[in-house]
Amino acid sequence: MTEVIRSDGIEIKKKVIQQILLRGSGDSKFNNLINKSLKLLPPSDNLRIISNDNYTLAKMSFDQWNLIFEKEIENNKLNKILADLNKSPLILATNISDSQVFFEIQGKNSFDILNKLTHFDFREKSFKKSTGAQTLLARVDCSIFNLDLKLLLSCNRSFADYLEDRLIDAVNY
Amino acid sequence: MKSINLKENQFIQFHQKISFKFDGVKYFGYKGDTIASAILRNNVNLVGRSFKYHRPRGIYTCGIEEPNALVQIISEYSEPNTRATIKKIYEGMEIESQNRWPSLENDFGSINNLFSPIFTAGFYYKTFMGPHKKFWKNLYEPLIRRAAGLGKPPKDFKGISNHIHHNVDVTIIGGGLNGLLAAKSFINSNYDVLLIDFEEQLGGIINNSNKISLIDNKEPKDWLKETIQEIEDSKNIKILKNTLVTTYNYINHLIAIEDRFVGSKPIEGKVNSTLHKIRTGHTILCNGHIERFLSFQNNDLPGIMLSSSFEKYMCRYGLAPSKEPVIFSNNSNSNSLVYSLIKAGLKPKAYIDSRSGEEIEPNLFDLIRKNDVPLYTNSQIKGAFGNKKIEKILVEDSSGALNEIKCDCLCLSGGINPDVHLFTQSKGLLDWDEKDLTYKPSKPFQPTITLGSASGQFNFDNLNSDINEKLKTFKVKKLDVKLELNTNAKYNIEKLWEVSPQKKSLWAKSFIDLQNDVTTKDIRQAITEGFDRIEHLKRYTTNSMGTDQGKISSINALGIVSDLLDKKVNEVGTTIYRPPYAPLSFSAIAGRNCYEFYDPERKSPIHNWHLKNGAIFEDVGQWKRPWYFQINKDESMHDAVQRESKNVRENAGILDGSTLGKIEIKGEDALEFMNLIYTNSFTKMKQGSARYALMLGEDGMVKDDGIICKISDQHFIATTTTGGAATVLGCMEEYAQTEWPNLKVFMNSITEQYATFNISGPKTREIMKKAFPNINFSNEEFPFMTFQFHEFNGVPIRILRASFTGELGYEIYIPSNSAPKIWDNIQSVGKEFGLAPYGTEAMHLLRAEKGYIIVGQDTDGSITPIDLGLSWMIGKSKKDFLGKRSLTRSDTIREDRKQLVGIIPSNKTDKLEEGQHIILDKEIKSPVPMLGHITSCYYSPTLGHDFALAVIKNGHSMIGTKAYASTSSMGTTGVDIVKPVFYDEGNKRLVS
Repeated sequence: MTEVIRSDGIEIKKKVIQQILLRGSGDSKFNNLINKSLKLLPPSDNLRIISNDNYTLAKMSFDQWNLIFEKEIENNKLNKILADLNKSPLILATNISDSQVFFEIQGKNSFDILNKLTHFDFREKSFKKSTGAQTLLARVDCSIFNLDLKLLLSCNRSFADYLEDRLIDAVNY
Repeated sequence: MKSINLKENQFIQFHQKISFKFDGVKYFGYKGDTIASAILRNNVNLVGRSFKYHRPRGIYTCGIEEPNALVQIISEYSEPNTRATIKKIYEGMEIESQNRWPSLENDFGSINNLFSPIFTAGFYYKTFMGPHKKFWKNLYEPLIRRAAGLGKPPKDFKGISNHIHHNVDVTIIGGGLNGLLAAKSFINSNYDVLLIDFEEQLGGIINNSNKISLIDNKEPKDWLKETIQEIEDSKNIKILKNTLVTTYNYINHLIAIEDRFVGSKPIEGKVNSTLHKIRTGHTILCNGHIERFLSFQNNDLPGIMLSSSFEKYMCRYGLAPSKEPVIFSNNSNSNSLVYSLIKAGLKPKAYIDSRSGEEIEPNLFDLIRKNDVPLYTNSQIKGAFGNKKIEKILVEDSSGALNEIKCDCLCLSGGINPDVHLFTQSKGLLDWDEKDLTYKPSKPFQPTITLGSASGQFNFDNLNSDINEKLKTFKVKKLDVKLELNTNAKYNIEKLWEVSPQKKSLWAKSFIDLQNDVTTKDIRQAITEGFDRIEHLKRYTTNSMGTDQGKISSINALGIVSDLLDKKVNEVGTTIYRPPYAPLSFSAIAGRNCYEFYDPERKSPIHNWHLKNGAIFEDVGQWKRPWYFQINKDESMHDAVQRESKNVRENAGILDGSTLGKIEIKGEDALEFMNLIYTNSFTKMKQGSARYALMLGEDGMVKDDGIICKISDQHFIATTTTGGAATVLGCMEEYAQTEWPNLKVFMNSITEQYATFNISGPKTREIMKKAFPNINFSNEEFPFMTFQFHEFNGVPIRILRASFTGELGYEIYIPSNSAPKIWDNIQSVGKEFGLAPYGTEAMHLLRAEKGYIIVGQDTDGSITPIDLGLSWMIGKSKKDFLGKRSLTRSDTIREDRKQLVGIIPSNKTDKLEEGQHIILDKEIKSPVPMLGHITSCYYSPTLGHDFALAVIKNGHSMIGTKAYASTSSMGTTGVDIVKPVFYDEGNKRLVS
């Protein structure tokens, strides 16, 4: 984890977080398979996030879930989970740990500063805790996960340098 | 015009003197002054020159509606067309007047005034027609362009601005009395409220006039202070000051610009302005009204200004622009100016009203009589006269007699209009009010509420009930505010748009649009010439155009037109008010999206290595890809590309192909899905093998290509072109979800998960063996178009034997985070074999030698696989695939379609160029029958001459014939049409 910028009311850190992208129909068979493997029932509401001690699971669209490992696990364990999930043809589980970069954002001014880069409505009434969102930040596709006390913002790794510069710029200007 | 400073003013800090320069002369103002108030304080009358006739102009208003006083701020990146009436001064500010030469006082352009009788409406359209059409391009247009505009565009672009987005439930535009009352209703409610005001101080009419004497039995300024404090303390209300809402978009999306350095010089490197983009649930427009002027002869002379503006200078800036102004009005709005003047110990030199004595309010009468102010009722001003400033006026009184009054200032009031610009931008409808002689908001199109004078309520009688009624949809507190007024009059107006001059003259001008120098005569002429539709008339005369958009005059123009056409004003209609309400600078619109942030950049995992090793990048979509690698600064691109491609042919080269799209496809029906998406058949394809595949659009044209790796019948990995990655994935998703929802299949992008290295060349196998010693790269174990999964130092990798250069080649797919290490390792072990990196240009050259196409370069959305000679890639036995039906249409099977061929110059020393037309005749005779064009062209170090790929009509049957390529100098080059494969036609090197 590296610190991107720390300023009045905001602190941004960059980190690589292991992540698996799950695709499936979301029916009971799918839910059972996921539950069996992760001991976590996939959320059924769009953009809802649920967590246990090991994983955070966010439903990002009607047939897509992001499995996020906030605590890093060994690669062979991750590969085992991946292989386990992929045993069934009903699930496509893809390791995307290397394809995205996360920014952890904390502080009372976080939303004001992010609103320099996105039209997204961060108000409590619109963007509740334990929900996620997919939107544009500085014209880049991003996912935002509203967790307790912090935001996790992810983008494709190819955009990471650009987005990091834009976040710093947003804090400074 | 001699101004005087008034004793007390809460907004001007008389103890803080500020020096500034106007046209090189040093003046002093006070902290809080605008340029206009400071200039008036210094008794400067002449501020600018008019657009067309270069007539002398002064300060006409005290706000955003100003048509005349536009200046260039030299000390702020030479910002042009700044309204002097809103821009605050600061120490050291440098200002210049505009549209004059050599000086404001003696402007050469004022000669135009002499020729003004010929510069009438439609002058440009009528004059610049002949004698020859070349005159327009070579003479008229350059001259007009040079003369056009007011200020000079700044040479440097240094302004910094940023953008901020807001999401709120309610936006209140205007922080005047009604805006504050509306905001007060929302205090501590459940609504997120944004209160926006253009001024630094909230209060509007309370600050700008003496109309109100008490609010809730308190002095207005005390009530204001308390109310603002309450609003500021409320957690749900945010206030944006110095912010002008310029645009009201669909759906309730507002754009507002905030000046971040009001009254101080912008600091270099700091944000000067912020563009607020607001998405709101409801918009409450409390943006007040605008006073109109009146048209009479020379109504543009410096020293003439609007009545309410004069009063605003008194109340807001502690300045009376003149000790004895004459007031000319046709309505009751100027009553409070009389009150303010007398309250300040001054008095009007005369009060002239077009209304009869019976219509004039009794308390105004009392005030005027008590203070011995000469009163002219049923009277009109026939003209104003003076040299570069008003010196006298000619008044026609009720008896028809003419009276000359000497004066240095004339205050006008032609009535007031609700400021409907934002309301009409929101597509709200207006209705003409025959009593108040103005358009008023009628039916909103969006969730828009208008309050106060913005809604056409020019009196305060229904203040509480109007607000309470209109805000009843919200759960907010009801208001009960008590107002007492100084000028207790109901708004009353008599129709008067224009006063005809005493003497008719070709040079007499009665202006209807001050900024564009449009006269009432121009309006008459336009109507005579048939431009009787208001939108046509606007464009023909330029009335209501320019930076002020005719804010003080457009209604008058409608009134004059309605009289001329003998129609009611609502039958004439109104022009459309388009955004922005006031001009925005380009830097504000750009925000931070300029220079380094103009477009997002994508970088491959190996980007930093490329930077350190002399890569020159090209933009491929948003990706930065190494175009070629310079081994020293003197090496040209041509030399670098020739060196790199030669090295691949002789030794080995490595390309960073990480940008290629990669898609993982999995599911019970993955095989069927792939068979439907691509032209190829994958049914008999072995697991672990790979295949070059084509994707078509529904029109049968080539859309993308790539290599498909079959892991099993239920699991595939596809590559796509760099630019096509998102499109192909989107296309797959669309067809899976909409056309074939019965198929159980899912797909994920893995483009960024894996870096891709393409290693090519005769020595590649040796390098691979050394880099990955545990893998058997023999032809038998690892044949062409197969792939294998391996683990290298704990990193899972996939190696595909394929080539885009025509040489023995491998593609290595490595998780991105581990890629730089493995790249370094390959570089290190490859050194002894002459391995060198190559860029996209060498890759293009090498693939073209081999006859491999690039989708988007050799195809253009009108090329089928058959046109490319790739019929063998079509799974003919397949029941269906995307685009299959279109391949049998009469158009796609005709023989004379453009088809891919190779081109070489008949004389090998001749050069070819991409885009050259291929023609049959040596001589170019118009019209030239064109066969097709060159799509790719390079100099081949292997062949020793130029070669090209081209698409030409009936190309396949023309192979072996001769043709010509047109040159840019209208000449031709003889060429041979050949097969589109120039290198290793038998594929021996590929499978070696």
